[in-house]
Amino acid sequence: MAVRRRALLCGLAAAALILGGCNSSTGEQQTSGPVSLTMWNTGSDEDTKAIQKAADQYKAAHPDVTIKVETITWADGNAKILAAAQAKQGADIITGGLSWGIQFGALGGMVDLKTLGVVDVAKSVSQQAIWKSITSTDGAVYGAPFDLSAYVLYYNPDLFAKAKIAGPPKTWAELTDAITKLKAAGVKYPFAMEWGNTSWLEYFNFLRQAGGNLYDEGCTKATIDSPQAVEALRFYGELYTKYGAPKDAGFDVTGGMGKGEVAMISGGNWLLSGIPSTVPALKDKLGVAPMPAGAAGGTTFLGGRVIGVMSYSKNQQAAADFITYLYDPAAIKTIADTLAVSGSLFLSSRPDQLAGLQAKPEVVQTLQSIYGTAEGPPACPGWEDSSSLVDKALQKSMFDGVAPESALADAAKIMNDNLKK
Amino acid sequence: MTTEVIPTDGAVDPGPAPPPAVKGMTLRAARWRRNGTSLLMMAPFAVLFGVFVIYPLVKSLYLSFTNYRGIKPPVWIGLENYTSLFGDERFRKAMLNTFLYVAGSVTLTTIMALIVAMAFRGQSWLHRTVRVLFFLPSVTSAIALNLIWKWIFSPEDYGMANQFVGLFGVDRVEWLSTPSLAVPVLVFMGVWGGIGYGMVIFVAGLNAIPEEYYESARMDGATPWQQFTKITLPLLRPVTAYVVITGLIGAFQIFEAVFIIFFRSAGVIGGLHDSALMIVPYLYDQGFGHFYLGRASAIAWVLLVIIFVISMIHLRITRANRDLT
Repeated sequence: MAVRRRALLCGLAAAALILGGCNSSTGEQQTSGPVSLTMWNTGSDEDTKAIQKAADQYKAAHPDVTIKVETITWADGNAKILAAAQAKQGADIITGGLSWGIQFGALGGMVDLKTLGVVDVAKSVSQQAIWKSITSTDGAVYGAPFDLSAYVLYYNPDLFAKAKIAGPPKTWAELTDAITKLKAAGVKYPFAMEWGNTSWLEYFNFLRQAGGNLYDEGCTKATIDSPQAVEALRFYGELYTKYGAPKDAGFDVTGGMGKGEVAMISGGNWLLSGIPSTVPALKDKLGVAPMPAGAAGGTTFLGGRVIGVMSYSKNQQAAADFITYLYDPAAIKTIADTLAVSGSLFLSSRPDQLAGLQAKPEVVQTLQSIYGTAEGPPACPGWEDSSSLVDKALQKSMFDGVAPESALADAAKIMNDNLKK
Repeated sequence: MTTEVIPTDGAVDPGPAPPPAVKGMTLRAARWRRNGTSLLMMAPFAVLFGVFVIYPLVKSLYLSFTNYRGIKPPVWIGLENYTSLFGDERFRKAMLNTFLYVAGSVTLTTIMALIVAMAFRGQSWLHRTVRVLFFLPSVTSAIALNLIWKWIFSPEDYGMANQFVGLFGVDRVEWLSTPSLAVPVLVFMGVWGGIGYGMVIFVAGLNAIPEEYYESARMDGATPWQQFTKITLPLLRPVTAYVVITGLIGAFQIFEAVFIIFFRSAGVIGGLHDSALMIVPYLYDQGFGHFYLGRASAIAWVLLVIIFVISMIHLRITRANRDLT
């Protein structure tokens, strides 16, 4: 009996040790005293350093609040936040992809920022179209826009001069005309796509510019099989098949532009600093412009990161107060100035803060123009599950010879099925 | 609780080396005295094995029958995860790609490993050096290797693969974004990385075959090919079975190469047109990209069953089961 009792005690001790490591927090709110917050920033160490600087400034005004900002990577950030939400341990604040707020919010992992006062401040000052992308169908906002990512057309003026092209193309027709002239002038890749190459992201630009959309206004059905969508896909596909845009995701667009092989790039705003740092010769002469417009205008895709509070956090209000502070011009300036030292541009969600960017006037002007028309991804149910399948449907049309009508009908079916789930 | 008392009248055969039972000691106490130390020494391993292997296995089997998205409690849905998989176009594509990859890489790796082992089975300095060179990929970080491969297959002119084919006048190839090339590229990488491991096993197997068999065969006039097919191959059967089965298991689990080399952007796994989508990357995509953890568990169990069934079939076909035991 004594042996059995000892064995039982040993077993209980081992179980206690194991379970002790899995302590689950109840999410009870801390109401007073010093507060320590942890923020997981999905992005680069440079970003983290800049946000930490703003956090330190915040601490100067709020001595009881200490914020530690840590980097998590894009490759595994999503999984890490999921694991934290499951274990109810980890960061109080997270930044991540635009859809992450809706995704984690629906699972109960994040707090509706409307209840914490963030939305009241943030919505009035930030880019308006993005709110449609980050608001759940029930009206909750689990992630507020932290920064934005926009499509920019980059071009090499020397190659334009060589091909006798006066300026950046403003329409689809001017784009294909410029590609033809550049090709004739011996440019190897007149046009390359960097952000979302061969995926729905780049297609979204052409779709909106043709007057189509992924879903109808109320998210009741997919509209990706509309005639405008077909026209957009035909044009998108021809950019690869007829006009020779590289389709490899790893294609070195900046290196290619540096070698004079790539004349135009449709890419993310990060290339504003990426191209000059990779190709110093283009630092003073890199051309930037909004993407060429289609028949229905120049709308392009707007991405970025959201920032939100995890539902297990014991300091939700303190976390929300810090998030609200990040919309303050002083905080935005601190982050932007810190990033500028390493050559990066911080595109705050506040359009009125673009003027303070340490960038050439034409860059600021281009970004302001893009902010005026750009739109985020749909927040319709099932889109997250549909997007990769839509990619495959688009690729079938572009590279397997499937008719755009048929490929888009398949995509619409997938989207409608997921809409109903 | 029953308490057995060891009879002391000598009616029970003490068996091989019983512990010196103390008169009147209970059977349980005697067993504890005999095995207690061993059990205590095994306990740390048993606890870790139970917590980190058995429990996750059983839990994943349970989760595979649920709708579980990580945060809210799992909801029992029966076989739905399994039935929906077979109607899923991406899963079917992942299965097809994986089977093509496994067939190509395991077959070629085994053949090449045997050839290299036969060519460099000796103890000379040259043979040892060559064996080390072939084995190097097996002890190198998979991440580092795959990053180098990504560079080699870069679509630009400076990509080593493009420079090589350029020597023969072939135009630049978009290796990683040409769907028909995705699986062959992965097979090529898999064979390159796997030859060394198979070679080492084959060398051990070859050196264990008595030289007298070959001498006798030569005296009987057997040609080298006859010696290979009548002596070497049959006697290598258990070793070949081991190389093939471990190769199969490894090949079915291919992940890093797809994740690193065919990475297009976060949330998009499997390359252009899913041309490089395999079962484990799809499992990762479903589990950690879309948080369908129940569905991901079902994929893991499907993979386990596939590997088990194919390994059993292979063992039966080669009749190596008997040889191995």
